[in-house]
Amino acid sequence: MSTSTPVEISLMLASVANGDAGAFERLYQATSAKIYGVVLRILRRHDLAADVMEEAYLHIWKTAGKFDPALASPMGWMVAIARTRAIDLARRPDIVASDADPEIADNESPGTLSRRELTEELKRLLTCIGRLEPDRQRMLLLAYYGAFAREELAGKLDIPVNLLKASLRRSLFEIEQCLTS
Amino acid sequence: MPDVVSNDELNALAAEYVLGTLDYEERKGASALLEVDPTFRGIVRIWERRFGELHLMVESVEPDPQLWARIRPKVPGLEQVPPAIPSAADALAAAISIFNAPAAPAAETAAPEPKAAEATTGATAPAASEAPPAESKPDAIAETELKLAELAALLPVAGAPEVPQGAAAQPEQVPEDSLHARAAEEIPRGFVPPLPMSTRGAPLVVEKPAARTGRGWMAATLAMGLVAVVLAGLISAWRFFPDRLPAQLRAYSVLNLSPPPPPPPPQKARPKLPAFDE
Repeated sequence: MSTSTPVEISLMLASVANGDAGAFERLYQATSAKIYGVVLRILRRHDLAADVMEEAYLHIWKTAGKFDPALASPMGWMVAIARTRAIDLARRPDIVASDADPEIADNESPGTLSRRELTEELKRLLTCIGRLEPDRQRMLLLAYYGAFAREELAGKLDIPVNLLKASLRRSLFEIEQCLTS
Repeated sequence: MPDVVSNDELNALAAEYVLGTLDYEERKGASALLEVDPTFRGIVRIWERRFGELHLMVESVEPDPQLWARIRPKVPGLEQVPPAIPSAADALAAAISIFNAPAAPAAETAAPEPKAAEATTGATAPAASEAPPAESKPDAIAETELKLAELAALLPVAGAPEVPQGAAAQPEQVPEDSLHARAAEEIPRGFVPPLPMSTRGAPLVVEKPAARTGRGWMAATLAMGLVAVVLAGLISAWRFFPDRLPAQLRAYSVLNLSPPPPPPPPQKARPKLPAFDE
């Protein structure tokens, strides 16, 4: 499914921006499994993940014209749209984590990466993450993939929240330094 | 939240907003800020771009096919298309069945086309439903450890620039190993201009849905054409050599006329005709 190249997805987005409904369907077919994977890992419930997907894709349909290839990769842009909504929903007080589908609840780790998918940007980021201490690498990736609030993340890593917060911020700062150097 | 938000604070807030580690109240504050503060919005976009490619390491999970069924009717231009194809095929089947049993041979010739139409419309469904989202994974943290170990195995490779760090390391100049070479091989592929796209990879994604909308109609049209040809053939057969047709295909049985009231007449009618001429 993720066999479409960024250029192909960009072209689909451009057609969608022109109101091409067929292109939107192709875009969905080409990208939904990846985005669902991202969203499901955060929400760990199929019903909520489906709600977010619907909202995100309708948003993509309406705002495809705002996608700027100079500013983001097409998948990165779409993932950001879906992720934002997924995290918003995951943080809502009425969404109880214990409702999570136990089968998915376990599914919180990053998947394997086939090397051909390793883009220049990802390589640069992984290089910078790789310069952090192993514990902080783990913390950062766990934070990104599960989008756990600090408290929950601290619980998972079994460290005090304050320590986690300081460590997280230092890591983010170092990554920024590394990426912009 | 402090009254005065420093740039560092704003930056950290944006980074954590993107990372997803803010709690409900903090996130609510950040979302509100996002609405009104273009500077903050810009920083958030930067962090989104920085972390954006991490999605490549997330395993794909096929959503339930019902999800597309939910989205489709809300997209102008898609709401009628998929029902139209099956109903065209249905109409065809209904048209054929009007002729009942006698139409069987005609249906046989026409059948491959509706089947093709069904195949194209159905093609996406099995693909989408073959992996109903079900992931059974063992113990959470252990699994995470495992995957992170795999990742860690990857990192040293990407992290090879550790060495030239002192030399104001440009990420570009460093990992000239096989990994880099491979990735470099892959990337130009992505930049092949639009035209060759259809001939290259991606038929899976690009052609399949096209078949759904475009080919379904073509198939239905073809099928209709075939039916018309077969019917025309049948009618001309009735007109020009009715007795050579098998009993089932003769006009009276096909059209459900009074069944065999004129079974002998056709044979006797002929000898009579020349008699008139005389």
